[in-house]
Amino acid sequence: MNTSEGGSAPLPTPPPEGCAGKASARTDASLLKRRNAKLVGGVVIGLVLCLAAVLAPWLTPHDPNRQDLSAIRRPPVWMGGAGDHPLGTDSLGRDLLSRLLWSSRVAVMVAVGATLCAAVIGTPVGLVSGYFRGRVDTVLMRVVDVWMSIPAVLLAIALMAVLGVGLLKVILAIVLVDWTRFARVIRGEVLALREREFVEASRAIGLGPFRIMAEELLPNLVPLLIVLASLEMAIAVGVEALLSFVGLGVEAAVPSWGSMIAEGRGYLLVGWWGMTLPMLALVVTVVGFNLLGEGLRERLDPRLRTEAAR
Amino acid sequence: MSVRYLLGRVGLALLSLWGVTVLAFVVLRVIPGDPALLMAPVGASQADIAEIRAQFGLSGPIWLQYVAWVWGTVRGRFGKSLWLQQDAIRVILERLPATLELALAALVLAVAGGILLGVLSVLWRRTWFESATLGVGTLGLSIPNFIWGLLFIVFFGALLRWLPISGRIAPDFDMAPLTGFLLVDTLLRRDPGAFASVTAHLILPAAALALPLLAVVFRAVRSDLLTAVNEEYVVMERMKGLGELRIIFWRALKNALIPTTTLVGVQFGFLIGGTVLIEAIFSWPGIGQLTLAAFQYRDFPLIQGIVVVYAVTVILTNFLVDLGYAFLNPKVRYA
Amino acid sequence: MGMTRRGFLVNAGTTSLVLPWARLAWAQKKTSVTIAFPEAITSMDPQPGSRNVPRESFYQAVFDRYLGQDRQLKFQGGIVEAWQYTNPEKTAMDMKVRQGISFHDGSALTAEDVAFSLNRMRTTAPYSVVYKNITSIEMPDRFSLRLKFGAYDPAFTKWLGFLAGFVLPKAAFEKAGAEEFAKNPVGSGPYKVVRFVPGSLLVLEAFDKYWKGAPPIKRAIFKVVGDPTARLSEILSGDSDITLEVPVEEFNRLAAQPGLKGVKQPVTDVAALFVSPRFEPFQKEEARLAVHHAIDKKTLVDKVLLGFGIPLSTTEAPLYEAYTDFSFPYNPDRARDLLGKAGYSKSNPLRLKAMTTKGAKTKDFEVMTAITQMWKDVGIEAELEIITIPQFFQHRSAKTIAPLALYFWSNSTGDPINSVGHMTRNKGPFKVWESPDVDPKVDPIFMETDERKRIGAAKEAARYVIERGYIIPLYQVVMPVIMKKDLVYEPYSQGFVLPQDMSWT
Repeated sequence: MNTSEGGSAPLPTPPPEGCAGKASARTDASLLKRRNAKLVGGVVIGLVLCLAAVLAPWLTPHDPNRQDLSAIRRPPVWMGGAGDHPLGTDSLGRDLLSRLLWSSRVAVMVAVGATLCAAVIGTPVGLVSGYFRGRVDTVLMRVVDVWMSIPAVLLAIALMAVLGVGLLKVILAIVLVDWTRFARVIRGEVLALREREFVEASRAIGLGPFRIMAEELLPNLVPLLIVLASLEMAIAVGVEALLSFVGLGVEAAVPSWGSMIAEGRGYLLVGWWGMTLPMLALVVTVVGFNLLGEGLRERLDPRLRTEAAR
Repeated sequence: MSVRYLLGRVGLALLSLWGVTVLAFVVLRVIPGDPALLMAPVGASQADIAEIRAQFGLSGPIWLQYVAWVWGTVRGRFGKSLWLQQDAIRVILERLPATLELALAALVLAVAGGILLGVLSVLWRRTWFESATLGVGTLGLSIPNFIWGLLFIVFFGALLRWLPISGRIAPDFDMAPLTGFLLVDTLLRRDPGAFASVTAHLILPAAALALPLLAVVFRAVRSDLLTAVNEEYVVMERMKGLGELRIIFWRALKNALIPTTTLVGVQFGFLIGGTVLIEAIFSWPGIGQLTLAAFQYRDFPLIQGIVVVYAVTVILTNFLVDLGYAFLNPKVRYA
Repeated sequence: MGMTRRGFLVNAGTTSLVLPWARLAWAQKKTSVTIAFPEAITSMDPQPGSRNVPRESFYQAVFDRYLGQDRQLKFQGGIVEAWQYTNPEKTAMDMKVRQGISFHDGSALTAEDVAFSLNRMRTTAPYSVVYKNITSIEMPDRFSLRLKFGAYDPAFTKWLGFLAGFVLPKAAFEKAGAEEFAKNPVGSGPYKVVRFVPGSLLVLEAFDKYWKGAPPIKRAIFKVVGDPTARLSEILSGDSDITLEVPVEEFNRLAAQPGLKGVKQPVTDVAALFVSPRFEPFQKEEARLAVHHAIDKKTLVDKVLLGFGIPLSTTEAPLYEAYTDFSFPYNPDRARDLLGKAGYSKSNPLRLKAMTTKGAKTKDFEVMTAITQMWKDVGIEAELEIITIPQFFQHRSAKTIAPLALYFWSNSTGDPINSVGHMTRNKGPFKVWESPDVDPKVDPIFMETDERKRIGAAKEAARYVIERGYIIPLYQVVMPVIMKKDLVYEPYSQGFVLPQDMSWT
């Protein structure tokens, strides 16, 4: 957002569904069900993903990098494939199920790592900027504006070209590209919170600004942070996939949905599962995180003035 | 509007530009591998390499290098692209209209589509249609645009073969570009066949690029409209017998304008960043297609040029959006 | 283009919407051919810059080489219709230029143009290494040249029909200047450039006054499509008429499509691993040989390349003059033994980095990935680093190259100078391995005036460098070519695509 002053821009809020009075009872129920469905869906997907990531080494007998040149491009089990490769194999005979599962580890590590770091960097900036306002705010938000002038994808690619490939470097690149999101949104929220009575009260009894930020503001930001974190995880997974797709992501020896999609694309018409299965895994994961974030947002505080998902 | 506001916007734009020059400068000097060696032809002597170093301003104290770089950038001199063996800025400017046309088409699709879907989903609320659009909304937001691009290529290009999936126009149409914006050019030349071809080629990549933004616009419009349909005065108007569609539609347009403008401002950066991958996937001859190759070849002149041009595009767009927003929302102007 | 029936439909706006039936009905682009080409065409100046042979396809359409070459790699007269050495040391040569050839701008081609082109190559990198051997060029008359060389170069005449060996028009070039010429070239070849978008598109129109006769297809379009999947879609949808390098898995299916046919064309490209002497463990010959013995080339070709390769144990491909069917066996046990002798085993593996391109050539990265597993099974742990071809050149010059690096060497002259010669000669800029025993073996290829002895020395040298493990050839490349069924074209073993040799039935 380039209008950083005063946070006065009327950011479109997600529908306060069901709480505007005249809705019928039937609407209420169905909306509530929908909201719950989102949350449930998100949580389920998140759990499945974590389980897959943690249990990957035990869920399949195959080494994800073990090639078996006598078993290339075998179809999944429901299309006539053998049981030892339930989801089939790729063009070098590597088991797709194991590769998909091991890729989920990459996804989880990137999602959690990048989100944590981006939050750790962006939140203090947002807090300081929103609380102190004035010159500090202007300077910090200018930095954020300038940072955001470079399109995210371009910056990510440039960073990876400089840093070289690797999981940690991918996380670093994502953090560098996306920390500004946390800063902006937190700042917006702090601008509103600081006017509330409890903050006034703390100021009145003489608490220093940093104590106020840590003890009063931060706890109130937790719901927002949780929502942001979920959405950020979705973005992180998407960016990692993009980088791996073009070969600028994780190392060549590490399986990742993005690189699997790129590989599978090469033999799409004779083995559609090679590209489609990782794509499906990616989509379900990203959608899952988004559902989680939205479900949480609607559940935790429908009045949250968060920017519509971005 | 107030001069102060205008100056503020200009100042921000310039500051952003400066920040970008610093970044592009740093990129050249931080990438592993000696750039001078990369740029030297096979079998070059030490003297040749030293000459290249001098030519590209890779020698001397760093602050001097920076000043020379900024001075060159301001004049648009990035040097000669190693890979394409042509003046980098010329190559970029030749291809820029292709990217802009794609981005603008995506923008139009996203805004129009988003508003349309938003209106319809509220108009036909509590039907399957609404649920379907909500699903589309979530999918559109979550799924990265390059995945959409790949899916479109597979379905509409390879399987169904309804639409072309590479290039901007069928090569049978031999056209020296006038403005570079083929939609405009084909109209100027009064060639409906060419125009149709350009449109057909534009559909898939623009749609892939547009989907995330479309979902965002859709959500915003929808949320605003949902509030509206429940408000008192609307209920009153409904009792007066005015068509619901009319109410919703006009309200949508009026009130969507401001938030959509801000949304577009924010999202345009993401949209134009998306061109990097979409152009590569669809063989679209814009600057996005150059980007991956430029990085892979460590073609510094081209990389720097691309980074600066992309950033300038985003900064300019933000600037225009801010002006537009101030125009629409008087409260901000006199801040 | 006048208002043909097709033109009418186009103006009605229907055909361009690619409705399947419309496409089939009007797919008879009988006067033009569209080639979906994998490499980017960036400059139409045919002399400077490193390149490999397939890229020369578009230069060949617009310019003529000094000499022509047939599909068996035999050279024939082209612009230069006759040549001969005039002294026993073979340092002086007389050339006769064919008369009656004109350039696209109508001017006549004379010895001056040939002289100009040769002279420019003396200072144009990187192939100036060959041409700077020319010490003087004289023109006794309008259509003859007299050249003097610093030393005998047995491959010189072959270079006249090889990379960058094109004749440029002196007057037009000097008038336009190099940069402008690269965008709007003038040549004497079968096609004129109508439109050139660097990196994207080259549209050509037949040159009626071409000295060999105007080509049958009036309009040729080179469309740059870098992505193999996109090339696949191009040929399936009918937007392109011929393409190279489709994904190998799709080849059979494509070739079986009604309306399409496929050709598996062995080309004069050789995939080889270059060995770096700066890697300590490679000072031991056992280690180098173990690396080679562990590679199962037949399986690579069958399962990874799906038949698009021919296993090779020498740097000289079949059709090359110094080809022998020398074989270096796949023997993992022997590899383990050798590694054991060098002090390595599965529990104490030899760890090394290997550089490879990805996507530069069909299945390059997949081949290397498969090889790393073959190495793993004998006790070599390799880490792959993906590089681009320009980076390969850079590392090679800077001597920062990894212990092993995959590269595709192209030698369409068939002369051993341009394969084992340049690949290994320490004096030259193209080698990676350096050791004092190499040049004594390889120098005769460059200097021996008795041709039979020279080829014999080449065969010997090729065998030597493989047996010592200085270079590890893998396979000869076989190119997948898919084209429309009614396109008549026989692909070249040099790997180019020449629209001038195409016609429609």
